[in-house]
Amino acid sequence: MYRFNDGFYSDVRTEDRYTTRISYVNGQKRECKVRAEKRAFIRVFDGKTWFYASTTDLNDIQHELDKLYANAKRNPKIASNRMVRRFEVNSDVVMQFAPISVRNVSIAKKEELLSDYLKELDKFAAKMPSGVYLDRNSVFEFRSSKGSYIKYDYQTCGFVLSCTFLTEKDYFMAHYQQGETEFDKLLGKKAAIKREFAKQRDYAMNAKEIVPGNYPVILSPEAAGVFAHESFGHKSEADFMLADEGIAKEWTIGKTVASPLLSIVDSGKVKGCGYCPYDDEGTRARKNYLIKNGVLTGRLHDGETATYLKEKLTGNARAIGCNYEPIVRMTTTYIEKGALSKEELFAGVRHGYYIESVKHGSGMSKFTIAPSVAYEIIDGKICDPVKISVISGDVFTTLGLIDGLSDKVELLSFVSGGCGKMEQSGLPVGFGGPYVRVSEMFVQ
Amino acid sequence: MNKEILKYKSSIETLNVVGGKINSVRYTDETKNTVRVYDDGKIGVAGRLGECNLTELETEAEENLKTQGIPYAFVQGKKVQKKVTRRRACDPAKLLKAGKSLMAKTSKECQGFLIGGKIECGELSGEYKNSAGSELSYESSYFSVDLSLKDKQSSNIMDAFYSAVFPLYGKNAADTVVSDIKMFHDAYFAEKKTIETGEYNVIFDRYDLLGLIFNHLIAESYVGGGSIFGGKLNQRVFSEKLSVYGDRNPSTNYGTAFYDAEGTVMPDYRSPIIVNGVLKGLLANKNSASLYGVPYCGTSNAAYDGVPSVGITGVYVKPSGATLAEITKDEPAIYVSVTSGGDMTTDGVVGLPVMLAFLVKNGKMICRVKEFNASGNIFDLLGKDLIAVTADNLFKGVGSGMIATRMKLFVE
Repeated sequence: MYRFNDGFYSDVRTEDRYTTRISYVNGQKRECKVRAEKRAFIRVFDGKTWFYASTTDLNDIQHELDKLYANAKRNPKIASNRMVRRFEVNSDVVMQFAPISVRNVSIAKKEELLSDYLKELDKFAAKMPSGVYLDRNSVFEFRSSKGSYIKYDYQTCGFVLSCTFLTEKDYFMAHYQQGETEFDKLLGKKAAIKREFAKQRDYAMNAKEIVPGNYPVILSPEAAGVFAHESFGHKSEADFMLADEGIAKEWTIGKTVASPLLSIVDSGKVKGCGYCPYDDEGTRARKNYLIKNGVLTGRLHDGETATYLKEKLTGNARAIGCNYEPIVRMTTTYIEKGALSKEELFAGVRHGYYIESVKHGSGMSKFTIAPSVAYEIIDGKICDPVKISVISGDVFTTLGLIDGLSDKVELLSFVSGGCGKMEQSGLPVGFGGPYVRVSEMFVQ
Repeated sequence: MNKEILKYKSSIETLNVVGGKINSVRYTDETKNTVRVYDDGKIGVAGRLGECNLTELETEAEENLKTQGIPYAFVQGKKVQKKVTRRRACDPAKLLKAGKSLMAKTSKECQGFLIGGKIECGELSGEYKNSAGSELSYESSYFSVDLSLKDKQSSNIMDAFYSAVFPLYGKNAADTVVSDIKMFHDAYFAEKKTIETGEYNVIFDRYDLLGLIFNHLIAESYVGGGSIFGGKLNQRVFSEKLSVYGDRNPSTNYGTAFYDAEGTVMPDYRSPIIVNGVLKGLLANKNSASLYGVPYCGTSNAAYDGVPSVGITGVYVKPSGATLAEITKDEPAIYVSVTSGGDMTTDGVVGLPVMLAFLVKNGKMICRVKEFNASGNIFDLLGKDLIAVTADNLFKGVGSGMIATRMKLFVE
């Protein structure tokens, strides 16, 4: 298909991406867009430097490849390069969405779905009801000079609804998001939408102030997922260890970093928005433990970081599209389940707070999570809604303070937003976990 | 039927920096085409990547207008014919060599930091034409560095950031980057000072505080009750020392078009949002401005194949007169360099967990101070407590001024 020159490692990744975006604001249709884009990303490695090119003309790939060869230096020993040797050679076709592709669902059906659900918001007399339907179906192909050929597809679809609830002195932005991998699974959600907006309206009308301080906190699967992603997932991306021998020594595999109850996993095999059966270097997805029973067990790699740290590839070289090179990213990151029922977990809190949903979170040495909806817990029961601006703490101290996990994992999938790292933002990732109890967090 | 045709071309070369060395080069060329048609209160849009037949695109836009039925209030702007060009920032053939030299020098001068990130050289051009006869075009170019700085002894992923954009790459730009990062490095590794909980003069980069209010300036949020500015259009909301503009001026925002996505050219290429403390503009496109009866000040943005949305491509904050040296002469100030996940409540109370901050005296960064939480109400921080928008910046590679205000800091 392509002429790969000797003396270089090369690969070509193409994406045929179909997307739909339909939006309404305050009863007015704002957008109804179907986009079909084809792009290619071409990589050439000469043993020292990577050369990349991106093109939207798939007939021009060989020309772009040849231009990169002209910029790189031929290396007769490239096949024995440690990183090149590490790259997997896979031959596989994984097309699981073709029979249920959103490409085959009519625009009228997608519009009808969104319009129907927006009607539910009208019942709440809220301000500025808005909704957006989004879908994506991508077909990826990957070919390498080592002989890989991989073809797989990816699909997400869903909707986001929002409105503003006005109170006497304040306002609250209510949201509901449903992400799936199959259009038909988006049907029949009216009751859930009604229930969710009723709950958020109640929250808006009744949320009370709290006294800032240290309290026991229970994180919902959504909040636990944000915590796992922000506080530890990013620290597991091994590219921050490149050329930094000091930090590699500090992050030694086998070191105790958390409560023995805690295990955190990242896996591209999970069906959802973080699904990535092969990464953008052609590495097959696998289940990677980052923490197992409180002990640092693994980290996330691309070819370069795995080679530098002399570890195995993990399938985490990802790019947001064929206009960027793959870098180390998460896929679906989650906390594994524990042994307690949800009721037993809550029963262990005399006075604390329950974080149900999250606006945003971030984490360096300290983490902060800004809750959207939160409740007070008294004697193990969820009580009044409360206004919490942020919960925060030292990452490693908090990981050590986890003292209970519920016995079911909920994994969340999304259609909007995504993870940002350096210049590449909006990468679809999944996350989740069980309900997680932390004996003490700073709540304000 | 009214018609708009837009074309955008970019050619960008990006160097990736790992551990102070260049490990990859990326070449990205992109062409985007857009045709929008307006008729009977509706809009039709078609867009295509790469070179394409505009007649076919126009037919597709007309078809979309008929079938999609998207209402859009078309407002014919003034006929403007203008071309703005600037010289090439950097010879792409020389960027790799220049980047290697720049990183070698910076790493040598700043041995406590591991440097990562991107060095980029971009050449952009665009055209806008409409059926009323407007013809706008630009050619633009920039050289930028966007670097993360990691203390070799720290266990963080990264500890600090440095970003700068130049209209031209040359010895001056290289020397500026090296001296800025060296100044940062020396202050970072000077003996850290402890501060007590209390009120301080605090200095921010322009986006740190202003970034908290942009969502509240979107026309839909404003009229829908989801904005802290609700009902305050044309009223004084902040100190008269504060004037904030969306910036499309090629002399301060390199690499951007001087017109917005609907071909609007503002005086001085800037969209007035807050002028002398008065809320004068919102983020609106022609449709939302017309629908909600709010001013339209050239803040339309659009995907190449999308209906216009809203957005600004840069922010200009007008200096209020003082320099950093003047405001830190008698009393040192705290420069907030890195925050983590701050937020603002619906009544304007700001909470910022500050991960990295520096003591500033006589306009110079002296040393780090211990981590703290900063708090205040945005209407006070940019209102009665605003000290100045400085004419200068701690970093010479960052062209804009800084915001100095009085703020309560809580040290654990």
